[in-house]
Amino acid sequence: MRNIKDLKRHYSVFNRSVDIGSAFDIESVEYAGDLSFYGIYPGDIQLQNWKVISGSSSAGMKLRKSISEGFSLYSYNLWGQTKLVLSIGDPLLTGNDDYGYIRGNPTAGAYDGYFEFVEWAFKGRGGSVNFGDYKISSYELRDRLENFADQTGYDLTVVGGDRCAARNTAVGGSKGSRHLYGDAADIIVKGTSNRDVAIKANKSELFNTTIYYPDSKIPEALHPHVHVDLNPRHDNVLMIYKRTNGSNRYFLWNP
Amino acid sequence: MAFFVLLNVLVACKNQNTEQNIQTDNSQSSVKKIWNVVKTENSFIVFDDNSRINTKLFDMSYLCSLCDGAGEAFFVLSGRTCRDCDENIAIFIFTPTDTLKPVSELPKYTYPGKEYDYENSQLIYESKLFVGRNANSKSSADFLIWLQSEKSNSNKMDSSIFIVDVFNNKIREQRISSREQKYKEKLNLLKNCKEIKGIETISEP
Repeated sequence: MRNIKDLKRHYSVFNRSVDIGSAFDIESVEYAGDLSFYGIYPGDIQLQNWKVISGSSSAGMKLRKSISEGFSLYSYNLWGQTKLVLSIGDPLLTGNDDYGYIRGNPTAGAYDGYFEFVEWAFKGRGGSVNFGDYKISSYELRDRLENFADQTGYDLTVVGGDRCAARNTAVGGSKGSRHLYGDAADIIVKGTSNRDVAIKANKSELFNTTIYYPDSKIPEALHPHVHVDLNPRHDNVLMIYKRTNGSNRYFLWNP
Repeated sequence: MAFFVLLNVLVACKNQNTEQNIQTDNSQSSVKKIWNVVKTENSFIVFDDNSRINTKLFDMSYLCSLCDGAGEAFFVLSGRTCRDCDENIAIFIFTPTDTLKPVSELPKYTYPGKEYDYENSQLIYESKLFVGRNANSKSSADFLIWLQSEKSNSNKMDSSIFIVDVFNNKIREQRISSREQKYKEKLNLLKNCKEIKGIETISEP
């Protein structure tokens, strides 16, 4: 489970009339984008905790307190876009302070509520990303790593991130390295082969480049891991690092 | 003096990762540690008084020290900032006070040799690195000098020399293009320099 901080910005507050017992489409109120951009798909989302910060109905009823039960959220896919639907149903109408409620006549009416979504959560497979001491400047790459972990259930460990440029060259050496741009990461998954991780990373289509570094047993070879980046010149490229003719090189890979 | 040496060793044992300038309350004078490097052990530099400093670099080797005569040591190291990653070996300059810095903030320079583009195997950078002593300086400071050529945006190889030394206790860098007049003059610095053997690398993806 993880919070989606970026989504909170999109959905934080909205104001509209809501009929008791009806469902309303959050997407149509606040968000016009494609949630699949974030790697979010139907079934991946649940409302973990949220509250109503204020609100009143035309009938003088007031929305109060934190509500953690009684509202349900579901998603569906329409023409490639993930829609979120928040449904207000009967469990709200208990008048019980412990759970939050809509005060007043619970049977009918329209509510003009100001809703603040406090926390969203993925209902993924429980994977995680351990960034350790490594900084990755690109929020997009961080999100995609989290999504990759959610999709696969992998506990990713980041073993390389942003790098500073060498100061003696005009372009900083290692020309064009995405690590200098902050949108590359080196990762491993303990207990899982780097080969499997690289193949799944490529199949996820979350990264522009995936490079598999096998355990080559060659002293001067780079250590085994998987590199992923958002190189704009690449479109879901999969490569392998291997030794040929006495030197280590990179090749396109089709496992 | 023996007291200072003893105190120095005690501080080294108590906190092996910190700078060891010791000040006396009475005289307000400072006794600077003389950093005689004996060896390296993993990421640690070990000194002749058995104190050690953690550089936090991987595959680390000690190459030499730079000094402007003021006593502060600037260690020239090779290594990388991550282990299971695709970062190439580079040159870093490290001072005892840098133990509190993230390694990503250390001054970083290319390791000498040839570097090929990882996508098309074309040569994109080539350099030779020399360590020398500046005969014209009274402080007889050591310096590093790269004789290098790199592929420019117009796909031509541009040559330059890059000099690093320590001046007023700070790292000083100078880049001189082969198109500048003083380029040939600076090449004279290469006399009596010791070259650090280069390696072949592929650019980092």
